[in-house]
Amino acid sequence: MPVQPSFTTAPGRVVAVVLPASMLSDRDVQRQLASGLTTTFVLVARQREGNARGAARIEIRFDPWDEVWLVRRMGIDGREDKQRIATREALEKWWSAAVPVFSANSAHVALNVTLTVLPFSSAEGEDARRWIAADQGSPLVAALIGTTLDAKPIRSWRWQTEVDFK
Amino acid sequence: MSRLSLAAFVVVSIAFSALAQEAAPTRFFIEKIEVRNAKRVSPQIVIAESLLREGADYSEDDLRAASARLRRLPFLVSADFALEKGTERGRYLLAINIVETKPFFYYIDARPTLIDDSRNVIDYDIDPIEESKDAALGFRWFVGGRGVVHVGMTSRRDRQTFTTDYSAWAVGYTRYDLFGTRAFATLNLRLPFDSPAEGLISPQLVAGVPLTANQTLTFDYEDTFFRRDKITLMNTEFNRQDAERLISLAWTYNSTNQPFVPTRGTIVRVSPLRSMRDRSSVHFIHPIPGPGPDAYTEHTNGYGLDFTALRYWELSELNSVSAGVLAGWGSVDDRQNPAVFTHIKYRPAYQIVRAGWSRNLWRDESKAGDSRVEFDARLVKRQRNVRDGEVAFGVTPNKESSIQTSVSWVRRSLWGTLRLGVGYAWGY
Repeated sequence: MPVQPSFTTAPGRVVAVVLPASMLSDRDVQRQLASGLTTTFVLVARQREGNARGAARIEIRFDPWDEVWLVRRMGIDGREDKQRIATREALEKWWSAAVPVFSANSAHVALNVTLTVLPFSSAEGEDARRWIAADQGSPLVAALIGTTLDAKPIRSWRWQTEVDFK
Repeated sequence: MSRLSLAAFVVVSIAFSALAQEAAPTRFFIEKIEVRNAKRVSPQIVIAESLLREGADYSEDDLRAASARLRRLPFLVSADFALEKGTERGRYLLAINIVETKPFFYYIDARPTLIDDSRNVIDYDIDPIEESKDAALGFRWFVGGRGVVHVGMTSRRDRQTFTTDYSAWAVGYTRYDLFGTRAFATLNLRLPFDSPAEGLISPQLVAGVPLTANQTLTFDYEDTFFRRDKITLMNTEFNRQDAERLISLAWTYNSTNQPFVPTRGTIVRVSPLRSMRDRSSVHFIHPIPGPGPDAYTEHTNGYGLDFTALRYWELSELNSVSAGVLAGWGSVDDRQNPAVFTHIKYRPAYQIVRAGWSRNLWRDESKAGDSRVEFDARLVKRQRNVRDGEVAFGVTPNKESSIQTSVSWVRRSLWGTLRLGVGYAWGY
């Protein structure tokens, strides 16, 4: 059964994504979550007509010693949410909160949204970052492209949505 | 517009935040490393090649680089990392789950090129292979914890015109983690069979030192004996010898995701090369019938530098594009005794600009390899700046340009990598 998130609006013409908890039970995602290393979820929203794009990132790591989930979420609104979560149920609840991913400049927006799941934390290796910096000179590009340069994606999803702001 | 600026600002903030967070990344004290699912591959070699050591602490970046490095090994298809509780709080066991290739291995690149002779003639070999200069077919056994014995067939190719391309039977031994330094050395004994002559047992020594998880310094020494015999002509015995010595040093930066069919990452290689070739044989320089053949000797000295820069981008789960530049320069000095031609000196050079696209034919990621269709296009230019002895080159042009394309299907499996395709090239 295809995984389908829901898209909502937030004040200031912001599009937010609500990801279903079933994604955490995906076989490949589950295996990485259990690895004791960070699983990084990179959300990228691109406007279908135009070059505008937004991004959000979620990082989850299970600490085997404390048996807690160390989670971090940052959306397009710039707010960082960092927590220690003790149970799987609480993790699923936290996961299902709306993540601001795109800031629109019109009353109607059509988006292509991708969610890429990466092993390890999203910070790039020193070597890779140096190459990006040398070639692109832009932390924006490093954030959006750099995360896919070195790590092999575990899984990815792609959706389309259209949102009307009232 | 202001919203777009805000969005861009926030995305930039995310990037900066990631970098700031990286200033003090979480580090994990690895007290033990366990290699799991190893059937034939030696766990010691996997640990050595990861460049990780028990009793040290590592960041996730370090672990990711190690995982990527292991994926580039020719005898592993994948290497997944997981941390488990160690013996005490704050200590971890690093589990490396590997998927091995089979002991029989092959790397076959069969892409014959159709040359369009209706345009300018192309006067050199078409070689679509960019990275792996050695085709291979054979068996590999892991012995003694840190050693690998291999036997099979290899094919030596490079892009310099003053070195010899040939195929050879080979038996060799590679020792990993030399003296606990993570360095490796391979000793090969090769028997050329697709060369200027029948070939004799020829040694090759390759030694490498990993500088970082992505950078390696490699030294290659090859003594190749193509011929060493005697021939009797008109009651006179002559010695015939043909031998080539190649010494090269290569610095390689490699952040690609796999060794033979990369779809992500960068390869940069700078490799100076020194070649020496000695030939002695016999030739007829007088009219027949005449005084008979004369012996001659020839010594060729060559210096070269090869540069490779290739980058691969994954556009999506299925599509990958690549672009790169390959270039080389040389200086060759050829002396014969007695001189038939004058002293020959020339400086060969080549430049290749290439672009490629490949598409995964399997939608689902597989640990057992992949199957892709590829399209490559290359703009190739070659020059020869003759300083002395122009007459020796006859009518072959000193400058050539061509466009070469190829379409191929590549299948990487637990057994090896097979690339089948066809190329089309024309000179201009």
